[in-house]
Amino acid sequence: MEYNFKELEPKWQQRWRERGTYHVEVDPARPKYYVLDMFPYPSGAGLHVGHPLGYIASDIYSRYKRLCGYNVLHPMGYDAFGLPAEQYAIQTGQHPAVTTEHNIARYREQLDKIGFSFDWDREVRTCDPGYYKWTQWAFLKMFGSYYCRDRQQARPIGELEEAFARSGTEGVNAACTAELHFTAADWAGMDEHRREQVLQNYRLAYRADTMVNWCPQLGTVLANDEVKDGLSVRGGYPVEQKRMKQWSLRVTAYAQRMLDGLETLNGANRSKRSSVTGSAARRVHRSSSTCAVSTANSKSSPRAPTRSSASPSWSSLPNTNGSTSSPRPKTRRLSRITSNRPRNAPSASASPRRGA
Amino acid sequence: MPSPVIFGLEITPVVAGGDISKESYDAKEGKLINSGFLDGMEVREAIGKMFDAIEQRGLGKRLVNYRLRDAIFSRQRYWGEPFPIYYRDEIARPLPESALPLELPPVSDFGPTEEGEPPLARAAASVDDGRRRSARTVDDARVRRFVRLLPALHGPAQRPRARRPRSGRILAVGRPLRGRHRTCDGPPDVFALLEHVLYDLGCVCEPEPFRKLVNQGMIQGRSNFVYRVVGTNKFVSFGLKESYETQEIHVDVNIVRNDQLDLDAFRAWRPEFADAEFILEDGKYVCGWAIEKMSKSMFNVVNPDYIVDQYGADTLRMYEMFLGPLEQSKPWDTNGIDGVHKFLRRFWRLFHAGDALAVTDEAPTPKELKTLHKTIKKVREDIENFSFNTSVAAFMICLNELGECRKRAILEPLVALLAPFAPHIAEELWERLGHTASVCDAYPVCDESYLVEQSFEYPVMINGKLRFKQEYALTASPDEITADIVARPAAQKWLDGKAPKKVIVVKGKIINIVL
Repeated sequence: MEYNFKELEPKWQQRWRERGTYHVEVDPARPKYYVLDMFPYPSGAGLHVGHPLGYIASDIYSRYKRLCGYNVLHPMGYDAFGLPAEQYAIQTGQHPAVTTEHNIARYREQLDKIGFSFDWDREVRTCDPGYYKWTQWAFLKMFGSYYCRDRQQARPIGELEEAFARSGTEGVNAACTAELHFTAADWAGMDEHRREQVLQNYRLAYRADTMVNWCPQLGTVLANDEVKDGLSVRGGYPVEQKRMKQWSLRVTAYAQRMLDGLETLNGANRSKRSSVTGSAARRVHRSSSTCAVSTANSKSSPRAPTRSSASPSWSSLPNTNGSTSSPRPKTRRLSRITSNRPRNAPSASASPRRGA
Repeated sequence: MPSPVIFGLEITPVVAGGDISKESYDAKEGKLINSGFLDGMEVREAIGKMFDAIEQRGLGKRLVNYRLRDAIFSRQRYWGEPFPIYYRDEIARPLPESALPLELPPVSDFGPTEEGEPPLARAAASVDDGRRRSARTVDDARVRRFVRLLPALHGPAQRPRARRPRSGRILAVGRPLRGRHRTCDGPPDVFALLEHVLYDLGCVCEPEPFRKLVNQGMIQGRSNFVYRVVGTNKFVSFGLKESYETQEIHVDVNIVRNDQLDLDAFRAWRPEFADAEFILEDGKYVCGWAIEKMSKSMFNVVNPDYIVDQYGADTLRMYEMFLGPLEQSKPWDTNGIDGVHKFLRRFWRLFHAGDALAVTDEAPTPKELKTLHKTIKKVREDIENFSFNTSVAAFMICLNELGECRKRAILEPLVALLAPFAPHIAEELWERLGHTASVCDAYPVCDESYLVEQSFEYPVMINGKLRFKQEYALTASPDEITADIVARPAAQKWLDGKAPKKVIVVKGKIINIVL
């Protein structure tokens, strides 16, 4: 009898489906093991032979661990939000959800043919509200937290507000965009807007003016790795530097901890993600808020947020009482928050610390 | 030229061993000179001492500079998740957790608005009570690709909870993030941040969830070329192209096998080639090749469906692993795929004679057991080390060593051993061997005792010359060997019926017969 893979492979794939061979349930009797792949972006072109390489490797590993008695969780899903589907939607009017769904079906068909042991009952789609509910939840956590350097951990932003009400910035050692100095009386005198601006200086998820790669044709900002030689990688459109209000995450607060975390990743090359120069730095990294400011070097001044020359893009959105557009009048320099400071002070952090 | 040289300034060398008249010398190793209290120290030591002194004297303080920036997290796009934020009185306010998820609202047009606002602005004003929703969507590509928070994985709508540290381990296999310059060997920063924050807030139990992260290499394309004789529709084979003026044209790699062009498929490929003529070498059209990025425009994209149709999924799986070390980039090259496919065919044939199962219950020989357990050991170790290419090779070696062995005691563990690599054929054979459950029962364990050498092939010297070899169990005593060896026909050829003067047996080494 010949090796008839054409008959045998679909037969077993169907049986695995019918029998739920790869369905995983919590099982306290067995040790657990989690094998996670990076989820693919379901592009219109489908898979080529390079794509499954990692999935095959992780599948072999998962099956092996399962054979060794582990309860293995090996999920698959789709990184389903993204620019290509949206560009296609702009060109054709087709809703991105429709093309994404179509592409996912094609990916699934291709993946199924390779005989993976994924638990498809746990399929994840990042465009599914049931999924992004939790990334939104995580965002709210970051929005509602600041990083306390003394305790080396994230704390609820409410604790910072209490500290400001008690004694201003005195005794506060928190990761921030710019070092601020004000008293409890200053804080008490601030209105809601000002307070929120102060808090944005500390929140782990914050809005700030940032220089971004702006691609007018794509109508969005792009990450550095999405720009090559001044053109967008996708589409090849010109990209310009523009100051815009953007949501940012205070990754820098965690630089050392993330670096330490790499130590637990055995086999990982530790040098690349965030290499530490290990020497006394001659300059403070431009946007790095974890750096202490060296008094020895006059060049050291973290960039203070400044008013964007163009009005922040969201400010001209139609507001709620129906008028089509109203420029937002209240944008201020953060450095002006400390009211009795000269307006031309170079930046909040470079000025000498004031007593409470 | 350095400016001190241009301006004729005196240069004081501070690290011994350089010649500063030629170039600046800032070696990281060597002893310091001309540096006061630092003299005689190694550079590395001196750097630390220098910082101490600067801090002591109040000249400055040391700080660590991280090559890291805060991550921009928003996009002015539609097809992403909305920020759970609304604006009232122009102040960003969080939605309550109970209002999640904030769903992506439908819009009529996906492009930016006429004012250059993000498409979501079209839906932003629709919120009542003085609130306006954020028009941004989250750019969390770096989080999305790793999903640990997964409610979907932890059960429906269940909030991620703090748990005791897991006994289980976590592994991630990922592709490097877009291009070499961005390659990071840790989880993406934004993802890592999220984990740390949730850890701090008591939502998860570990700040760094991964135990091991594997970055796979890229699979490059292996392009094939045909050579059109300029101005004609004639194509000349690779080996003969020097005699003509030719134009190199990418040809679809799916109609080339072992660099040999399928002529009919080529004519059918595109209308312009329908009446193509060929100048062949040895009756074949040989294509040129090059390693390039796998891309549609190079006609070197290989669809896994095609390989599955031609060879089966198990062959594809094993061949992808066989291509080379997982973390290395390597070209896709189907030239070796036949070898892997033949291996699986051969494995299948071991179990069958005609249509019947031909597996016997005969007891395996020590040699067969040794081969089996050697393979088990190798494959298990290789999987643990993510060295899948070498484990595929180990299977092939194993089959070669086993020859025509059809013994159940050997073949059954081999089926289980192969199951992670080629699950379909393994399931089928497992069933044919009489099992009703899936081949996911238990992985074969290597019994080291089988790996211990059981016997030794002694070189037999007669009057100082190597005449033949004879195998004896390592447990056999010199007396037993002496008694047996002289009776062997190979020895008798030299002894000629006479008793040898002396037989010296060095256990596990050599046998000497003196006539």
